[in-house]
Amino acid sequence: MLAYVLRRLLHAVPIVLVGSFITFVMVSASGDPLGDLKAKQPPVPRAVLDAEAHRMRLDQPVLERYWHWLTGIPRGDWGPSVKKIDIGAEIWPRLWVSARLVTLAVLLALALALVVGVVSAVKRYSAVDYAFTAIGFLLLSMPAFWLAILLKQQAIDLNQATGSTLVYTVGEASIPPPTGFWPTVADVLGHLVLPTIVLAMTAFPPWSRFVRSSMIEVQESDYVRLARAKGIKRRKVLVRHALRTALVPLTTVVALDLAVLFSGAVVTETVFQWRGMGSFLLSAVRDKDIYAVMAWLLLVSVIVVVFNLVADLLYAVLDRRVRLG
Amino acid sequence: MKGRKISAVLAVAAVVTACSTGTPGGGADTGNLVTGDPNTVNTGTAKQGGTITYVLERNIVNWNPLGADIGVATQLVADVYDPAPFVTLPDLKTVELNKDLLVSAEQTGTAPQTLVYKINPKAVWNDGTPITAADFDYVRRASDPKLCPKCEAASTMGYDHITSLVGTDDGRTVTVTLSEPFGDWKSLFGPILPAHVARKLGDDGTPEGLATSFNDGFRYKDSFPDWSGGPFMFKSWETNQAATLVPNPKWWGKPVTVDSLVFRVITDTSQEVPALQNNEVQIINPDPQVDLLRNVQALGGVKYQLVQGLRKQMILPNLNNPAMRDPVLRKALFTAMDVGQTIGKTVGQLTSDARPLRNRIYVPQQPGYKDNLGTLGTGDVAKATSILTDAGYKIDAGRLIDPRGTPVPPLTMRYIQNNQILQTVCQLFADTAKKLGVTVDVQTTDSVGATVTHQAGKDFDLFAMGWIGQTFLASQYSQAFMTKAGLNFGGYSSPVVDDLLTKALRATDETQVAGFLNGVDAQLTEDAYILPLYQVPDLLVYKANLVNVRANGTYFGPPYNGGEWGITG
Repeated sequence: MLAYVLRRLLHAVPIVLVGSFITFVMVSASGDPLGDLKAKQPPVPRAVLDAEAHRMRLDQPVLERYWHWLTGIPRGDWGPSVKKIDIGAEIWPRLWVSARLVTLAVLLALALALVVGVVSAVKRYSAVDYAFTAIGFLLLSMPAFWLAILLKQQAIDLNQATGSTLVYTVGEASIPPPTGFWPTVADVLGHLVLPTIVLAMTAFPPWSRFVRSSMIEVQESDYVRLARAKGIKRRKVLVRHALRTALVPLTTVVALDLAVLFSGAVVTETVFQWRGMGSFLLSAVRDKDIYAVMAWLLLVSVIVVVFNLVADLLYAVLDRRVRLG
Repeated sequence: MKGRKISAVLAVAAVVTACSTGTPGGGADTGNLVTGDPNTVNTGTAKQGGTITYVLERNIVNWNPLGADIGVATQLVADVYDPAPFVTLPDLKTVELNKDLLVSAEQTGTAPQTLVYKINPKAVWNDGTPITAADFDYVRRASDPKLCPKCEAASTMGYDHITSLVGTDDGRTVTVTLSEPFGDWKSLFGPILPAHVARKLGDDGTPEGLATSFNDGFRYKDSFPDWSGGPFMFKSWETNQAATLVPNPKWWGKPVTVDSLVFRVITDTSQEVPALQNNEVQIINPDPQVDLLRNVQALGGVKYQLVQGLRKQMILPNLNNPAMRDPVLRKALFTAMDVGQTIGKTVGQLTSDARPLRNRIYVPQQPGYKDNLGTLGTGDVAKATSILTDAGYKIDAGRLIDPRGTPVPPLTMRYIQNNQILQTVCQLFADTAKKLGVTVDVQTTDSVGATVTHQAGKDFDLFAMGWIGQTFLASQYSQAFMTKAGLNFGGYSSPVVDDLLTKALRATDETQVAGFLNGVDAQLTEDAYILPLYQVPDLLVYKANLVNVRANGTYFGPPYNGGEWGITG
């Protein structure tokens, strides 16, 4: 198993390197990082512009810039930022913010997907199945920002009805923060509720459809029919035999979606003003901050590689016929 | 088909800007609109206590308010902790002495120009260190490229002419002498920086130490300023989140009433109104949009002010490209453009008092304003056609042919993406140009700066853009219109204009300055360089229980009097 993991990681290195070089060249050609500084009113002195160009390594050929950037990363140097932020110090807390949001949302979405998917499969073509299907397609077709706005308005109405702020619409915590343990917990939860629900509601419908179709397929398989014929309890057949097998394709989908969600629940983070990976990318693109964009891309490519590997490892856990090696 | 396209564009034109303190257009409910003298509106007495949260639309990455790469947000926060000798009031014309910082600031001589600042004897930094000439001298040294070549100062104008800065009366009187007259002298030392803090940040008297303290020290990359000479001082700062300030215990001015003032970063304008409604923030200052304004008008418990700002929208021709070099063609295009009609279809949705701006330098609230545009912007297509035909142009099968017999090439007109009002302006301009046989291809850009400074073949012929106005006009517009000046994005050059601007920069009498600058504007009309459109308004929305909160459409913004903000019972 360990050898397999190491081999997979080694294979990923050249892929990430080639990808990073291509994206570096593309990002470098995407505009003048000093454009906004050059258009400042009153104008910035020439000497300042020259110094900034040197600091941003814009006076170097692109190959040299790439090499400096790549070799700096192991030392924790992610390159100079247009906005003079410490990219390394900025991106890790943002990854943590996104991770907190995504983890909760994924747990909620997975729970919903499993319940809805299994119930829909078991009660196939019933009123319950049709209702879940309708809700699923409604959420699938509803843009995340629209759902967020609707929920925000409901939250505001709730707060106004109760006369106190229970649910918040912006940020990860109140400023200034409340004092005391329980007020702090309530404040954090009050800020988590809406973005978690929005992210979960956008992620769970396709997952529930996967669970439903897999469960239907598995329920009709010979080994499940045999299990039933042997008199094993229906619940046990469903959970131990059918669901376990049905989870294999879901694992692939969730692993890939997780990478996407980690890389930035851009809309959700923007609407709720969470300072995660999504807003980091938006700011970096807006500011033409080449090295900040590259840091984001590199991190996301690593996340994609890691979660693909995790998905492959989970196959072996869920399906004993799969042998890694 | 074209008409339908334009109608569709107009239908979705949500981002609308306007001018004046007048009533919103479209018969909107204006029950919570607050009007009055812009300098005194919403005056009231506050009770002690409470927190006020003001929304910043951008994060702050440099805390040095004199730094080259700062955004507006840095200045907004600096308003309440870093004093400047003069403040521009909301009426856009009054440059008022900061009486907390100074007892007086006068020009006592003209040959050479001599300025005398008398510092308020009570003025101290929050650690008790007196505010003295040393603080003025630090700013002067950091802003003069001869003394500090590596200092990344936003402006060096005026400082490079200072020949001496002397402190007397224990440093409480500052006498500044300049080698050349500098008319905009009130813009100097705005704001000052604490010299004793600079020493801790690396200023050891050498140019390198000075640059270190100015570029890196006052930037506070991983922290925040721990000093204050204003009503508030920092308590905390979390990047991308919020700055929390509390009253400065050493503040010698009018007492502050609130317990804390929070500047909260919300980068998505559309999230500001829900946050206000949910009382998570109390003051927002977003770019006005029709739908946003309608939302605000429908809210209970909030008030809003809609005032004229110094920001202007205009159409900039790019004289670096051959297509726009002929002043005849520019004059015809700008004459055919009906600015009044354009406003009616755009900014008129927001305010019924929107008017075309008929001067590139002054706004109507300023004493120097006068109409210098002549026929430009009148929408007189017949006149525009005659301008062209008189110069030898002809329209053949719907295409404009220049006097040499060459068809005028399609023109590229750009606007900043997602700005629907400017998209509408561009579409209307393209439609008008079509009547003269000129095809205008409307395109977006994601960066004004990158577009206007892109030297290799500048990829625009016309640019619908905003211009951040200031009250120190000679300094600002010398950079915009002088030959090869830093902000001369269109590549304009005129010896007449250069001469007038040089005179304006040296003139110390405001009437004289206005004469020179209006001469510049008239020459620009003669050369058909830049078509001004309208003033961009400033929308300030706040909880109804706040007092002394006022819109200020200048660089200082609403926090210009943040120390006076308060909450009523």
